[in-house]
Amino acid sequence: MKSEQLDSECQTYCRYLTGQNPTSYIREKYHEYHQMSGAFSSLARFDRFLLSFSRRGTWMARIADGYSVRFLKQSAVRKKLVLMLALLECAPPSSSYLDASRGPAALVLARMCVTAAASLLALVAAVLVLLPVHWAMGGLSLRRPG
Amino acid sequence: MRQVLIVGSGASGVHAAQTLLEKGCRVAMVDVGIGMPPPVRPADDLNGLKANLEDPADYFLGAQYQSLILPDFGSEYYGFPPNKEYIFEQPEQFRYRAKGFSPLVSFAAGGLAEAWTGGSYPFHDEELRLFPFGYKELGPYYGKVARRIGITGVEDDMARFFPLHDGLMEPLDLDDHSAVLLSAYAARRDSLNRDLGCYLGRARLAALSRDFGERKRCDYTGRCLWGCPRGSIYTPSMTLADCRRHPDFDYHHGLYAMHFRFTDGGRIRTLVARSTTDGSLHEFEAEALVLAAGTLSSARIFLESIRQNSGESLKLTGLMDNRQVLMPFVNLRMLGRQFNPRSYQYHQLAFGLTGSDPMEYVHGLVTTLKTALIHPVVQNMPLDLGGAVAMFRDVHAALGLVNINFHDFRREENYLALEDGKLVIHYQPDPAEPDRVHRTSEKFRKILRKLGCVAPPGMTHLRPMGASVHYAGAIPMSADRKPLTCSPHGQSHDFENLYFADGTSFPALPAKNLTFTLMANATRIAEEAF
Repeated sequence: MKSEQLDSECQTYCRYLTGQNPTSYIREKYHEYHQMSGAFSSLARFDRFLLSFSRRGTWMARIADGYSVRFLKQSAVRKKLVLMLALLECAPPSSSYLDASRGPAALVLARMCVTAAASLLALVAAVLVLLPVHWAMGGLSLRRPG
Repeated sequence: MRQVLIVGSGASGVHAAQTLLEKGCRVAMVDVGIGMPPPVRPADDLNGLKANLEDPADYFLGAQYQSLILPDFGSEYYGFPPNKEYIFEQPEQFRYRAKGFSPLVSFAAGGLAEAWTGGSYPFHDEELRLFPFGYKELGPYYGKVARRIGITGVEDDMARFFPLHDGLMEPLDLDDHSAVLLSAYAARRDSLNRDLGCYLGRARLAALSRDFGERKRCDYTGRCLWGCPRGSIYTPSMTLADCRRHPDFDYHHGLYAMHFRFTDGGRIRTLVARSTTDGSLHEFEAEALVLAAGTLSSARIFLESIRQNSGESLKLTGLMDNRQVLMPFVNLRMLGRQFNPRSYQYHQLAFGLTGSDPMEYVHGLVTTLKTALIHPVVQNMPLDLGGAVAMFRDVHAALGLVNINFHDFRREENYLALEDGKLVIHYQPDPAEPDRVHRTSEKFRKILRKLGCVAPPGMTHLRPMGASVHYAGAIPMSADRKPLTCSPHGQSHDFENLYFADGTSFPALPAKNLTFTLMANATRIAEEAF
């Protein structure tokens, strides 16, 4: 994968997860993992599509991620997002961001409801946009096995 | 002077060794003994490490990202710290084939208990029912070990399950979340006790609340999981270091114990070990041989010795391990509270759940998830990761995990054997287990609800057999002189000068962590058999 593509991915995923741009350290480690692991060298057609779709912006990343959670838990997008989260929790300022939420319980509950609603919205969008593509690419069987 | 040869430097081996040295014996120990790396930036707390290390991801995830848990890994909620990987390094000589069991073995100096989370729970009389001795005989040795290693604890509701013994020091400061849980329990104590047979109290921990020799008291840096740089949490390598300072102790490390040689009369003459570095063979004379290499390794040495001598391939039945279930929960009373990483990180509370029979007791350890890596947990939340991160930030201080432990019995279908030079490990759960696990999990959900907590559906995780690393039972203690058993003092009924000082000799496995009992029992054997 090209270095610019990785950079764009790193930037998008970091903003998607924390609302912040990645530090140079996070960029460096994100590149390092890809060079070291070779885990993403051969991907299925839909997995590749999902990756390029997710790079287009934070909402696209969220839709691709939401789709993965429901239909393709081990997609490359999902793995890369988990990698990003693991890197973010290792070093400040993102590590502090991940710890830093507080407030009155009612506000927290309200915020959690908004979060859940946004995730649901992303899932609906994911089903509408990505399910047909997945099916068209032959990666999804709508029949029950057996 | 009596000379004793011990194999293994784990919890059992070092306490047997120290007791024998105190009694005036000369002790030699054969061990692979892989050493731990030195602590990094010992003065920093956890956030200090993140801020000050040049490459924090290398420390927390590993140079090869080996502690990164990706979605295809399974549902474990803890990434194992890279700096503790030495504990599970294996020499090439150790080979096994397992069915129904995911074994963890250690060849580290200090053994598996180098990764011990410090839970120190004595077995009571009912739990010792199948042992050829009771609490009266074992109790003094719990006290002796407690005085030796430093254990914190109080007399509370859990004392009905953990008999009180000597040597307890005052408990550590309770973290905020544990304090909230304990106060919720106090408010509903009667109904929890009466209706659900549920008790909650302070954990007994091998962690220091005050300075103890060269070791310093816990100062709440939040680094427990990553290896306490102050030595506040006990590990057997500390006792090994004490033994190594003794003039009558010889530590032969870098050696993999292979088998012993014995006379036709069933007396062991020598122990044969192979160097893990150059492959050379070493032979040690053994006036008395103590196997304390852990159940799997001690059983392997025993089986291999017989195979070498007669070609006979034996099967040791009765392998046991505690089944564990991990149940994450959210404490609604903690929502919106500040997350505090400066606290003791392992479990500070323990649940006890009574059953129809005292052996049916279920033991729960409550960890309030503070400084463990979060990515293994967050990815298991049923949301997209962005939503899961946002949700996690809101509930971080409110998150907890109950580690539910179940007892095990010796059963014929679970065995250890040797085949093609490999240790064969075969385990088949009790057919009644799924029902027991389901009923207990439902009960814990109910208990958590009563304490103001919610256990999210779909996140409870049944750990594979072998994951708890509480292995026992291959050559059990027995009052009768039967082959493939040992005496109440761990003396083999097959070889007169062979002793089992580890879990190999346990005839039953209560639901509690057995490490403290391993130490107490090894001390008892060393004290009374020599």
